Amino acid sequence: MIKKLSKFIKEYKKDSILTPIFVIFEVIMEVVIPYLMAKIIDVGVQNGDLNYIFKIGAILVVSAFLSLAFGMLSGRFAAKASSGFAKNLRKGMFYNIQNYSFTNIDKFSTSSLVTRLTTDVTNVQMAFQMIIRILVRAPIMLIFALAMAFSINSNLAWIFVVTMPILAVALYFISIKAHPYFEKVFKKYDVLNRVVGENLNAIRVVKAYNREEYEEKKFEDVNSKVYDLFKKAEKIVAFNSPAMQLTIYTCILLLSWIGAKMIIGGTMQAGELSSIITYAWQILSSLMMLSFVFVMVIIAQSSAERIVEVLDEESTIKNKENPVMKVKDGSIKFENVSFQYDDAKAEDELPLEDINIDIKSGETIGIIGATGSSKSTIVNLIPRLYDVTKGSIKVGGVDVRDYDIETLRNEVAVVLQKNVLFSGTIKENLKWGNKEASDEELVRVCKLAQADGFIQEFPDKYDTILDQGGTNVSGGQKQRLCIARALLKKPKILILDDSTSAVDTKTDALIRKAFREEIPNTTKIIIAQRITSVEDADRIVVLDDGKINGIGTSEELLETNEIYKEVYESQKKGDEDDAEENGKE
Amino acid sequence: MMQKKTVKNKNTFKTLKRLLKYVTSTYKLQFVVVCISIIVSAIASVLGVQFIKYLIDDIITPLIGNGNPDYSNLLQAIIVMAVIYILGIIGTYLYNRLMINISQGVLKRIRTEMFHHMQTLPIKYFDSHPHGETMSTYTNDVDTLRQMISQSIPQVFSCVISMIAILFAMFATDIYMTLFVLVMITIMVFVSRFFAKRSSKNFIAQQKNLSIVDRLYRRNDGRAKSC
Repeated sequence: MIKKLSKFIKEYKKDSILTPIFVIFEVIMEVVIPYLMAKIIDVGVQNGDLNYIFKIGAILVVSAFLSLAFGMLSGRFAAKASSGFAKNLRKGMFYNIQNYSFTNIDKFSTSSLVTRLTTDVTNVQMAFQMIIRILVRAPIMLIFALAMAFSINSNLAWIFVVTMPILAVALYFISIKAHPYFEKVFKKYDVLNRVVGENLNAIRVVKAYNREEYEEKKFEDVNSKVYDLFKKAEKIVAFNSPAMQLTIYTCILLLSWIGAKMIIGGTMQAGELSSIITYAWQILSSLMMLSFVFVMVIIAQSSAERIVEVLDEESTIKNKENPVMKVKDGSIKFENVSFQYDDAKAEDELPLEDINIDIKSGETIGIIGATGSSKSTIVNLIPRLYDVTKGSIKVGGVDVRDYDIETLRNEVAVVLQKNVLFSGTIKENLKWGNKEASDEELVRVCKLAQADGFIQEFPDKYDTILDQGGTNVSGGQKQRLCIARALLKKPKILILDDSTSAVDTKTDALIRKAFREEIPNTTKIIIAQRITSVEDADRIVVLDDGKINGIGTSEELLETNEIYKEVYESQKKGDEDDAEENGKE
Repeated sequence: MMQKKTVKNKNTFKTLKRLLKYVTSTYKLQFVVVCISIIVSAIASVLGVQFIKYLIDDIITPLIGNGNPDYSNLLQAIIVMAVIYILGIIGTYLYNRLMINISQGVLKRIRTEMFHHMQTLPIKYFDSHPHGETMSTYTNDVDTLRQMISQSIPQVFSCVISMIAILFAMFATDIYMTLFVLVMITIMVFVSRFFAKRSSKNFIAQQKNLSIVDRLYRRNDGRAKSC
């Protein structure tokens, strides 16, 4: 895991190496200072040599400033190295997430990915900074102090050697016990994030239905769980400092007792005892620092594991070797296609079962069916947002799994039910479809999607700024912009997944007319609830419970298909009133 | 510019005061116990240093050269010290343990109040504030607070107590020496304050950037699903 993460230090290797080097210099200076002080007292003062005192005193001042300077430099480099490392980590994760299929994203959940990109990376960043600074400083101090203690009196110094391993074992057990709780804390953090995220996304609904109290209760549940788990984890970690103090105080008392006897017995000097205890304090402070780092590392360990999971996750949808780079035409062939979601149980019904359709390039296909009849699932399979479980789908005569994914998705444009527009101008949003599109092209596709009219009415026209989520345009306008965006890709296959539901019937008809006349060679698949949206399609597929119930033209289906006939009659009856209402939009 | 700066400083102070109020008001009794524990723990460690001096000067030195030394005084001193140390260790554990109740309790309360308050905000707020920004307050910002409450506050308090105790000891030893040290320390404080200011500025920028990452991610997630 460490090996994997350390790869992301990359260009900050220099800073990551400079930090400990400056830390070492800083420690050396800190060690030199008491040595010089001792020199002044032992040599200078005792001999009354003023010159010597000034000389060493000057070195002392310089050392003090150097120590300060080295300390600051190491801090600076540490900050740069750790934030750079975090930046690279986020970048690495983000890039890998871009390759994720829907199955991968379903596995992690969006909110968990957000926590991993933010909180977890921050934890690792802080731990990294600690490691390259404190984890270098503390052991050096420790070793130096131990060495000095041994050089003064090796018999007494053995006390440290005996007590330290006991402490190490204690710290080890603390971390082993705390780690699983921290792991659980972060999982709950994901849930917390999800609740907040859901609430934010659905804030309009929450307000409209006065569900604030319900949402608060939901939040309170997770909040309490985070609180409980965090408390449990920290309760264990709370033993850290007392354990540390217990060890060091025991050392000091033992040193005092044995040392005092040695002094009285004449085998040791009083001054030696006081300096060995000074070193005991130095050892204590480095151990304190180590325990502090320890806690951070325990926390960061869980975070690091979560980051590595994101980095290691391989997209379930990958390019084959030597993928096909060109889509010949817009023909689509479903052969015995069945589909099941990954997390489904064996006894669950298949969302799609045994689908066979042969669509010619340039054909217009309508898909109709009740909610839950897997209309959207069927089209998600074409651009490989999910892979089929059984059977195969061929586009342009080639299995979709044999194409280069980017090539395939460039040729298959899907306009989803839930459309997303980004904050920015209309022009910027449209250019998601094609970066290089000219202004004339923008206008052309907007005319096709019947969007040019209302865009021209905005004071800033194509430069009108859309709010986050496109809240300053109506639902129907949003849908038309999304259709225009998809058209800009000049796809061979265009899929409209209930994407004209908020557009009035008249405009809807105009869009379909434009499609027929302007892009006759593009295969069009239209999923709709409204019968009028699919009525004039070349063929209509009636889906029922994940199976095909009937295929044919509207006239044919009216003769042969019960479901279609029922829907047709019920909708046509109410349509006259509807049309009037919609027309006013 | 100057004016803006003072306003900002005032706000920082106000925020800190408000935060401290959360800490003190929610767990009054526990907070008092924490304060006492920190004082006990800090005094125990300062006394530890003084103890060595006392041990060498008053107990060990008189016994040196004594052919048949009486160790009872030494034993007594060490037992007294052991008791003080044990009190110190209990103090350390107590404040660490109680601080968990306080910090986690405060964080929970802050999250609850934040969510509650969020429900009362008008839709306009959600349109003008990116969701990522709001979401990262719940995790990143609250997490930073956790560190501040559970580590920084007791640390600062403990250091202040130790400092006062050490200052007393120093003044008792040599007044002029102590004054000189204080002047040097003042200079050091100024130097480090200069750097601290710069680093806190960068820190704020980082927190901001994290919320942008969050936002970018959500945005991108949307894109992945729509193309």
